[in-house]
Amino acid sequence: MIFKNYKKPKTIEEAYELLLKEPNNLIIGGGAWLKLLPTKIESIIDISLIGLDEIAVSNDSIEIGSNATLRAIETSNIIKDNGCKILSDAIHQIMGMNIRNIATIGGSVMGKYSFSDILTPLLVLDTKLVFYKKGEISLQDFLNIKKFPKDILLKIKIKKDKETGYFKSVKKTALDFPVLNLAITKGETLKIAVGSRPGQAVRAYEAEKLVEIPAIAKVVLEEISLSSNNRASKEYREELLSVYIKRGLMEVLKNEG
Amino acid sequence: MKVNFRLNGQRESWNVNDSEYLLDSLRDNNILSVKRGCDTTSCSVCTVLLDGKPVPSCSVLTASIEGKEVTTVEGIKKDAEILAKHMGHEGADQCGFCNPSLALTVYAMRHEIKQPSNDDIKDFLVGNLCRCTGYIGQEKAIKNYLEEINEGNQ
Repeated sequence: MIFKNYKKPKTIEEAYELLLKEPNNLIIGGGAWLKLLPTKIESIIDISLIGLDEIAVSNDSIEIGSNATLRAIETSNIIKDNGCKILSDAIHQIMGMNIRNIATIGGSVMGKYSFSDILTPLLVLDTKLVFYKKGEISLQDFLNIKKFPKDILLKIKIKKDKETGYFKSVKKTALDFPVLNLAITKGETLKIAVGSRPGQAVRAYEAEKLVEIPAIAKVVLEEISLSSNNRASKEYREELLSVYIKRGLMEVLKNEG
Repeated sequence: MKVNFRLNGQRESWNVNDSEYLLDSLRDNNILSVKRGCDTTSCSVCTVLLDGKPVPSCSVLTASIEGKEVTTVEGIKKDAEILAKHMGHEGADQCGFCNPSLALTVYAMRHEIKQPSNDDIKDFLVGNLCRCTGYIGQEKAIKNYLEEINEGNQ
């Protein structure tokens, strides 16, 4: 990415004003993938002075500041102890620790990356996003909006739940992007999401209504659209999904009787 | 723009472009132990410690380090020498290109975890690519280094 100016506002109001000032100004997270963005930017806006990096727990939810690094989330006991262990596990598998020390959850969510190992677990964790102007919106709704109005993500809210979870990311090497990823949780209801299809992560809403593992696995394969790209063929992805969906369901449903 | 920070304990004040990355700034200022590899956040040979944490300097904007502490391998000379000795004994390096980043990452690990397990060592080193020797020798050398450091601290 080519950009002219670096700005580091001290307040959220100032950051928002800067964001609107030029049509292609951009808020950055940790900057991990900044070089790879094929865009020309007037000013990038670093929000690290605003203090959006806290990880906290309230009565009914976990709140993660958008500027919290992936490493901070991965190692946080608040995350692990409140039903979000699959998020820690998923983050732990993302590239190397030095990258996780700069990449932020806000950057990962706002990028809407189709290869994301973060969006997939967040989709099965009842996640809401809190924006400075728009307010609260579900992650699913955010992903459904193709061109989201300019705004600043303040925090991510995950509903506390006594869930069991499963996350699998299939990669050729630890540093590669996933060929496919899969997240399942079982709290009050069953939730299944598949990402890196190679399209963006999606939920398997029809399959989630079912009870028996073979039936769920069959419907997941029917309703989730997979395709080929230079990392893997559609057929390979189907094979992977047919195996890991059963393993995942056995893992999360093993205490259901 | 002017950026004030500490480099290996010394106060620095550098004039940099807004869009300059830390790897370029360091190398332009003759800190050549910080290597350029992939330049796209993948290989880790450009690792430095930023406030004690390993980060890829190819992806950190120099403008963003105002007030922070940057450590390169020159700032952990004693540790680097002990690790280099064990790397040599284990035949764990050839070209040495990845050694500064490896030493910094191991240094950060031993400050974060008192007695790192084999899995901890592997976790910390994911991403530190070495094209010469493979990783078994490195793992042995790191264990020997930790043993020597811990004995010295007792």
